[in-house]
Amino acid sequence: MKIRKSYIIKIIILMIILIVCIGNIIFVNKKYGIEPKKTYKMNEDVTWNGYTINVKSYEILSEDEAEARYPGSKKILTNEGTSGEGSVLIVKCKLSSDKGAVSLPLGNLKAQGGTWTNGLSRDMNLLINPEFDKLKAGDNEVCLAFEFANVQFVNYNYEEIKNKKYELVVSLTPVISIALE
Amino acid sequence: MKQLIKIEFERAFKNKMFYISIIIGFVFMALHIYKYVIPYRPSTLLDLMTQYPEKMSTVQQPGLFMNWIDVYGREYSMVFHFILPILAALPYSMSIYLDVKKNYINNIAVRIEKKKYYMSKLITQFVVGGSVVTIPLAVSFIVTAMILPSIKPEACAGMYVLGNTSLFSYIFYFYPILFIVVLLIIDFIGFGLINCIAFVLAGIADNKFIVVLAPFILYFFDFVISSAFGKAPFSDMLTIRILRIVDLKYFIMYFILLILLSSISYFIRSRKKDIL
Repeated sequence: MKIRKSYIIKIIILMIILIVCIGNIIFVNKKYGIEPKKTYKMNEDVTWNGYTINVKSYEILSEDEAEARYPGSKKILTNEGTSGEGSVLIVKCKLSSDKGAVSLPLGNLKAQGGTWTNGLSRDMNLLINPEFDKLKAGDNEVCLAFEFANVQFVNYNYEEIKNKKYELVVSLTPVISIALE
Repeated sequence: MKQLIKIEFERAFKNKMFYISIIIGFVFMALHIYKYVIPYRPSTLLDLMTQYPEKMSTVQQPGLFMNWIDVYGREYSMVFHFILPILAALPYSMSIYLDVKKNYINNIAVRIEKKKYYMSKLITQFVVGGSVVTIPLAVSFIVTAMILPSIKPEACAGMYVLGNTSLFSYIFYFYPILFIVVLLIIDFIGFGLINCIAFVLAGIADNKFIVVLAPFILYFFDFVISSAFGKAPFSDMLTIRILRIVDLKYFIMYFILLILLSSISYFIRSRKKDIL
């Protein structure tokens, strides 16, 4: 069987393009790909950019449980969730910095579980810790609150939320997180 | 049948309108890459990371799964998706209409069964529609992968449209490559089926421009009506990054409706005694 010359040329051109593409993709990922995600455990000191965080414990409270512990929280959880139920993830941790008495970058902390994610709830945090806005570096032991609003779920189910695994993400480049388990 | 499909594929793919559609698609991809991929290449970013490590720790490094056109969205993606039914219909939709008008169908009908002829037309129409969408998207994915590293998306980065209520968010955050494959397959099937509307109209309409524009008219009509009733239009659902779990039943209904329309049109034509 005779193979046409034009076919051979086309195949050679395609092979060259393929090799160039694959080579370039490997090069970009080797040179510029960031280091893999680092996940720490609870009670481990995690340091990034001069700050240190150590997660001591965590718990997930329904709005009734939160109300019993921190009166006034039911109103916050219900309002911020626009309507219906809400719950809250409380992370107890120790924060410190080697930069002296600077404000802590608390706004950068995010809680994440599967495809759910949320930043700190300012109102809930102020309720739990009235000095929250004035927190300075030092050896601070604080409770950080992250809300689960029912609008973030197709079918809000407190039991399901409670049984999921979560992590506290402290940095995104590189990705550094603490597994809450 | 195999031979017939081969002939129809040659008519559809070795055709200047097909090349024009693909080139228009490439233009949108190139504009997106120029505006939203090249400025984020890591060589520039690494300098920033060294200078401002604190600020960089709050944002995720842009990567393939963040800045690729069909995940990132923005104007070029929106316009591309908006005109896609026209681009998909350009290469081949007129052929059934012209086959009848130019009596080409008479020559075919004496040689093979009508149902085989119409089936080959329908299959080609579907494949052309899907190809016009997926070829530029797949090429742009490869080009983006050559510029940006493949960084696994993190939900908390706040840079992705896919949230907890999105249908494909789990696949996206945990198996991003699989998400891209699913996205391309759904786009292929979705726009292939939309393109089959031209096949349905070719037997009814008396104007070749109506046949070509039929998929777009229906697509746009659905967009207006669905938006008026506060529902997600099919065009939004096909950009699957914004497809929500609650819209899944409507999404499936659209697919079933399009399959039904094409099948009914095919059976009516195959059973019709008069080909003209």
